Amino acid sequence: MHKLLSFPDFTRNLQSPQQDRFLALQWPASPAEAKQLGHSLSPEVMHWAEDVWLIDLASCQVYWQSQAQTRRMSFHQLLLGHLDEICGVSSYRAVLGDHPWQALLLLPCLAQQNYFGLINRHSSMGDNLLQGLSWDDWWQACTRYAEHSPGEGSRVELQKRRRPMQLAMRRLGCSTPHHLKKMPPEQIRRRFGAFLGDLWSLTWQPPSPPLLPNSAAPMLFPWQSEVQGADLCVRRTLDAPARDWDVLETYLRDDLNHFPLLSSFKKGERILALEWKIVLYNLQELPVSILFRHPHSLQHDYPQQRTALLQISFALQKALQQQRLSEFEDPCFWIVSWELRITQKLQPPPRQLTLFNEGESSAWEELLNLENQLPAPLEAYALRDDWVPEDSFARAGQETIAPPQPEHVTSLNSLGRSRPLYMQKKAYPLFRPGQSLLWKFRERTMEKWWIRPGQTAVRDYYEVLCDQQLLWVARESAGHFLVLGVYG
Amino acid sequence: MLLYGKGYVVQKNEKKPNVTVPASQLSQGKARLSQPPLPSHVSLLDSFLGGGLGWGDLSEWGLPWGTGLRDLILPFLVSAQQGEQPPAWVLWVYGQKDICVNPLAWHARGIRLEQLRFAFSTKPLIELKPLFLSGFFRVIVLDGVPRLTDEDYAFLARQARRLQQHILVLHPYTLTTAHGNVWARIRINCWRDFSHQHVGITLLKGHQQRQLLLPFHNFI
Repeated sequence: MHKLLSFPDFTRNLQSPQQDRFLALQWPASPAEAKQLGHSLSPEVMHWAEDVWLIDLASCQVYWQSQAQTRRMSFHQLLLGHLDEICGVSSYRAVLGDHPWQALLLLPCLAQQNYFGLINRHSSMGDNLLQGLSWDDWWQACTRYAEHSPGEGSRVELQKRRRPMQLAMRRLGCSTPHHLKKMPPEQIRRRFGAFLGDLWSLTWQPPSPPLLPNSAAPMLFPWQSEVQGADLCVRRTLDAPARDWDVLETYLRDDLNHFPLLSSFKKGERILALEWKIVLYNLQELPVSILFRHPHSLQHDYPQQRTALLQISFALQKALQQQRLSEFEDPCFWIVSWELRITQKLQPPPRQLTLFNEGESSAWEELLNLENQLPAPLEAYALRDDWVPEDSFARAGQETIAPPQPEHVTSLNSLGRSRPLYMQKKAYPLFRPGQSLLWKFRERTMEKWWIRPGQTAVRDYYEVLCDQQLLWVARESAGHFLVLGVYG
Repeated sequence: MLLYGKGYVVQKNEKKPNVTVPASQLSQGKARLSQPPLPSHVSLLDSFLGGGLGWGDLSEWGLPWGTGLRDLILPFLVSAQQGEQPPAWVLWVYGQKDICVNPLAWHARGIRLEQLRFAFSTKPLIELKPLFLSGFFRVIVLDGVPRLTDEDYAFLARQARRLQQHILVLHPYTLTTAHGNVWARIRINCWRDFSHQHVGITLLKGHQQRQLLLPFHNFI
């Protein structure tokens, strides 16, 4: 039974966490200019130190990755080109990483090597540079961390624990933090307290980023978002209570068209989130959060505002359903007034760039706009250089996908031709295998025993006709038959 | 009542509407009308269908689930992606929730994954309506979507005609003539004979009713 349960989920690859989500940028420009650059890439920007900024790309990463794809370049190349164009080639240092702490630690290492430009924390260069991280730089980063942490606790603990740890490291002869890389964080925690133990853990084994792209600050990091200027807000009070979407839609369209006319709305801004705070007839406030899958331009959609109105109607239906569940006895859905507020947006960059070519009409733009109008995203896939069925693909646009190498394409295609178009999300045991009519051996593959110990090493695949359905069945070494797919 | 051209309905004594169409649009419209059908490049199948599937049409297919007959549809999609200029975008909507697509198998059958989007939906005409209104996807496949009504078919046929798309509705069961569909240009039943490894195709509506037997390996 254990073998059956251990069979991997076919959708496993689609649930991988976001990678390269954080950008640490050191750019000696004016704070206003640097902040604007950050907000042109993502609404989530944090001012870390004098000339150091952190950008959480989570909410826009799919957008930038798909733009990179249409330009036939990697996300890294796209970002590098953008930063080079706006900051100047030899005037900034930037690091992309899964966790902001690791990205921040690499910035002084780049300065030490007098290196300018963008590097990836998980590249071999990033690994090598992190080995040169000095204790001074590590302690400086810890000090900043404590300053950004809420309350006095972190600062007091750092002050108390810093000297003993410095002395211990000197006694041990560890000239850089890398010498102690293998020291388990629990031991640091036990000897020098939880604060330093946590930071030690972040330095070498940061936690996986959250699965959801829109989830807020990462674990164990004192994230403080910079405000994107004053929230743009439109208020409306109705003459008569309304609940019909046709009526609401007309007013909402006017409100959405009003945003670009506000003096604080900059040309080229794209919105990512709206908050629609409804006041019901019983004066109860009902906040409705509206999220856009990709940055959306209100100016491009003027005057119909079809995309925003569709997303508002989806969000309203969801909010009303929840309202019905929570207040079953006295549901009151008549709306008397509201506030519509832009809560997240992408600002135009300090200078007009090719990356932000407003008005550019392409199939890519059209597709993103269509996706913004749907309640759920469309599925797009790309192949990976892997023969195991559940690892042979991933969601399109992920930076870490290694596409099939040219010499592997033929054999992968030959495997693919014998496999079914549809797979079961969860494999299930084939009952009464002896009673199936038609058996055809299809392929034998090796499991990745070096990655997933405990899994059986060989899998045989068969076509099985069972109850008038042609199934794709795997037999593990233990002799169990599992239905993996169906020839549709 | 008289019918003039395509879509004008006027009273008997009424004059024909005086519409001036620029020459450029006229030639474009003519080109669209004379656009060759979408072939599968399986010669027997194409000649059986009179050249292929017509642009602007809706077709209905009875493909019993679990027989591998969806492979029959893929050559049309490959042809749309590789034979059209610009290459056509394809949308494949599936309505079964326990399954997911196996992209390697699609790619191995010649599909370009970059220009194919999938969507799971049991109510696509509500949940995916903007896609049917836009014309971005030139070929749309609705596979195993339950409970499509006459109004739904009317809407799909109208959109396919207006936007010069081809929409394929695939059912996981065999179609019957007792339940017809006035909106579909062609209705086809397919079955598979496992012992002889061939596929049978019966045309219920479209051209004259007839049958075709094809070796299954023609498709893979």
